[in-house]
Amino acid sequence: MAEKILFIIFASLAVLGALGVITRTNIVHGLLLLVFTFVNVAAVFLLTQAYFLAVIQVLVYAGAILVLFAFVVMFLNLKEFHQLEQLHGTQKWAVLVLAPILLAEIVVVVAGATWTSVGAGITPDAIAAQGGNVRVLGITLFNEMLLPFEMASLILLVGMVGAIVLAKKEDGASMALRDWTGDEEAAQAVVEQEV
Amino acid sequence: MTDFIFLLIKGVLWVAVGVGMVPFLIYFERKWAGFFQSRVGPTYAGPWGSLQSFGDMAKLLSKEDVVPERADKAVFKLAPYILFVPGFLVMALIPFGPLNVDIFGHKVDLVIANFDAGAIMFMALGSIAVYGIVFAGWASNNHWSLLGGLRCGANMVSYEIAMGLALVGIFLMADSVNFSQIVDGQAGNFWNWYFIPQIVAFVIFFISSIAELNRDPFNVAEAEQELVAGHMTEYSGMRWGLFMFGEYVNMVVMSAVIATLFFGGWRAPFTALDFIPGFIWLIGKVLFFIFLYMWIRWTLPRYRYNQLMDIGWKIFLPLAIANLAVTAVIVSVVQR
Amino acid sequence: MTAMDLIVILPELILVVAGCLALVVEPYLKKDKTAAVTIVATALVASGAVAFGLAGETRAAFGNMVVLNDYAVFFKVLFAVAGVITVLMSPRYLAAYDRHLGEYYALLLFAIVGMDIMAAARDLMAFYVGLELMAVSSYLLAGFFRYHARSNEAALKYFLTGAFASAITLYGLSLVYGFAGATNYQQIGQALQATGNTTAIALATALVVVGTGFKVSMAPFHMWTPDVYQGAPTPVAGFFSVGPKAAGFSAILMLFLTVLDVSRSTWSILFIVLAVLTMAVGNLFALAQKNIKRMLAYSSIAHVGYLAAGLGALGRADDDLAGQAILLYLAAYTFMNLGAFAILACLKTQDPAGHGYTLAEFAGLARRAPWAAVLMSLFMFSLTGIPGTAGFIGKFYLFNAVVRADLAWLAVLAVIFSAVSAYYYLRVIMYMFFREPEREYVPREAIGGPLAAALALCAAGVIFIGLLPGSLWDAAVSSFGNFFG
Repeated sequence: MAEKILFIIFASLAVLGALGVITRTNIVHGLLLLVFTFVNVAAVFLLTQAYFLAVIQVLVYAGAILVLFAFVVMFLNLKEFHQLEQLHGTQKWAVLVLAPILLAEIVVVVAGATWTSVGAGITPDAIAAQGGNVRVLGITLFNEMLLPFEMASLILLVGMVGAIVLAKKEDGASMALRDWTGDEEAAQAVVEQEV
Repeated sequence: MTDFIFLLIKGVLWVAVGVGMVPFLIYFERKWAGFFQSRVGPTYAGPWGSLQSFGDMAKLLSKEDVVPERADKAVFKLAPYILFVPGFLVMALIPFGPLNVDIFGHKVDLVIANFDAGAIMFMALGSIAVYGIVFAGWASNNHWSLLGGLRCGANMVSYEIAMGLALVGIFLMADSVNFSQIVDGQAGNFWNWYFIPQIVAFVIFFISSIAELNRDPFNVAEAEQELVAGHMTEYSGMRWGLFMFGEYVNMVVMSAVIATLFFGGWRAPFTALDFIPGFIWLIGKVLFFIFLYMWIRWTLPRYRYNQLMDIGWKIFLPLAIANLAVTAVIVSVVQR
Repeated sequence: MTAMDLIVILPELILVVAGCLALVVEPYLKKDKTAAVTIVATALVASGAVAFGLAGETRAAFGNMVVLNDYAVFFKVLFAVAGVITVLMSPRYLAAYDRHLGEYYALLLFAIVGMDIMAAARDLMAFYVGLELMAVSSYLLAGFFRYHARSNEAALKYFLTGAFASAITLYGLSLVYGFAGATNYQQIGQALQATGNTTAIALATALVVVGTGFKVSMAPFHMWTPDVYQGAPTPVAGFFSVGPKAAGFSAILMLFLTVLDVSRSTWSILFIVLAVLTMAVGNLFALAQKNIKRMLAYSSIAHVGYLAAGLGALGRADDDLAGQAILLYLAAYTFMNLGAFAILACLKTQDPAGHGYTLAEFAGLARRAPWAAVLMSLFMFSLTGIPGTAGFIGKFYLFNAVVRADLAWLAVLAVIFSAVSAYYYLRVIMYMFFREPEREYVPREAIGGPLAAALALCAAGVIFIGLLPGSLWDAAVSSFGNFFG
């Protein structure tokens, strides 16, 4: 019972936080609320006894990733989110009608579906007997999930290579024309040409 | 019900120690600073100036709380709390005695939360604390504050990686990420403590922890000579005091974590000395590391920001990875 | 994990090692990147050869995460071939833009690794990481010319729509996981058979159709395609139009035939509707394009339409004929479309500043560059589906399968749209041979070397499949059978 009450508290706080994220026009407030949401999600993980996942949720998402977000926001000195002029203004109204319908559809279907639990036999005691949450997760990750795990590391490698390729400063590349001729027009023509 | 009472006692005890130490730490810091700089430090309030901190506290509490006109008021006021609340949470994870101790016929764990992933939780909470400084810098609407906040963010992100990787060596040796089990892994005399086999990890962790605490020589966020007072420039009165407070609380916590991970936690250096309670040993170790922090702060000049980044990424990160690889090989060979 | 598990992913291991090697070699190379190109091309050939050598074996690895069977082998060889052709197209083109970096090849290899895993995956986890590996590499390749606004636009559009599509797919798959309680294709299939085709499963099916439809650019989820192909470097655009698309179809076939077999009736109807829409959008919009690269983008959408018709037929029919025809079509399409893009890359390499891919610039090409004109005509004929070329064989088998599934009207529609497509394909040929150029063109140095080899490979493939489709058809038939090793 206590767990249920706590779940309702944390889950609704997470939802409220998420709503705040998308409704704030002040980006830093949105960011803070996102941290708040992630921490609450971590609390929900804790309630399901997924300790390691909860900690990683805070460490990776609330900690590392959002600090980088905060960094970018501050570097660009974004204060307020200014709404861009909408190219398709009428779509806004279509969204107002269609999105609730889709949501209602999903809610109705999902509420009526039959779910298969994979939690059978996985009790806190059983996990403790195998040496705890972290150990069980680690064993799963490096045995059954070895291939996806290694593939994920490859994705991270691609991300790093990509960041370097897209951001590394190059000397004398003809495409960086603007940098060394100062001829704005010629540079613009190069920038806009077909590739 | 008795469990709850014991929990309450443990919590109050730890918080009292953490909070109660701070005024004296500030006093000692100033005395040490005086010693290192051939002056006398505070002398006026109380015997040898020992009540100086309380006088300061009274002053800070009675000062006007100025919030800049153009500041983001909500975030400005929230920021100091974000800094020191995670520190208190980490305290809950630090064991100050064995598990399942018999006290008045009750089985009590001498740790507030015997958390399965405790050491990782410490990293996670540390990564939350940085928001206090980053958002304080942003909300002040001041160039120096913003620069201080940005530097602190980059600094934390960079050093947390090296720190985390240094920790993994400990995890491998203890075969656990639970603080209590890590302490158990260091049972026996002091040569069983992890700082000997994991000396590389210890050096990386200790120096990174200085950067995490934003103390000299890595004090780039505050950097008085360049940034006035960095993220704290616009703060005054007790809000400023909260930042100071948070800094010292975090120092206590960090020292406790280092003692737990590398220096046997609550264990005595010789098993013969086990009759002295673990709590005393832990406090002693904490005080030792706090002294080290102070000594370093008043001895070394500040690094430049780019040097800080270079050390983090180009020296500590590769070193930590090498240490991890070597440890992994040795541990797997020994276990076979 | 055992050593036997590694044999199953040996083609991918070769590619990963070569990709890392290319990254390591790159800093030591000056202007001349021959070493990186050699490493990568060799690895692709080796990967294809190893995969081909493993044909006929069936086994599962990594706890049924991936399998080695003829289906996976077919796609692995196909991706390796597409990769080799793309690599051969690239060096001179990238050098013309001063952007000839080893990282390009590494990213290409990693994308192919992701595609291989998608085709071989028999578990949602493996499928999804493969998809993301392919997708992330693709976004970066699209934005590789970072000083060009078009390339930036392509990368951003590809990234946003791709992430959106991934999210939708993932949501559908998470529902499937909730219903079945497993991530293994076979286990999910069995679990869902027990419950039957419920509304909830139909919803999940629709979400997966939409998400994967985005990835392979079925209308109405095609909007990103023309902009991305136009803005991406030409060899990359060529690669996008065949590689990730084929990988998408390999995964679609697998997901819908094994995981969501129970909702056959739902997804076959969805695919038939999407097929009609996609064929119409692709062909009709292609008519209006004056930019050949954009025209090829819309033509690729049209071809996806034909393939979607095949998917619809596969859901309706009792046999695997449509599935086999889709494999054959993908192989034929790889050669002809990459060939067309190789011609574009060739023309652009000769004149990086001036050439704008407009139809007008193809006027009189036959006199300036007869070989390019002849080959371009061959690829255009093939894309139209003129007998004697690969395109005809692909369409013949595919439409035949559609008719056999009692969808004659859909086949007739597809043929009509093929006739429409003849207008914009043959218009290129008409411009090349029968139009006077509007301005004077400086004669350009002919492009030899790797690019010529790429063109020769494509042309050979088109003619070979066009004249002797037997062996490829046999391969497609044998590949499409036992999905679980």
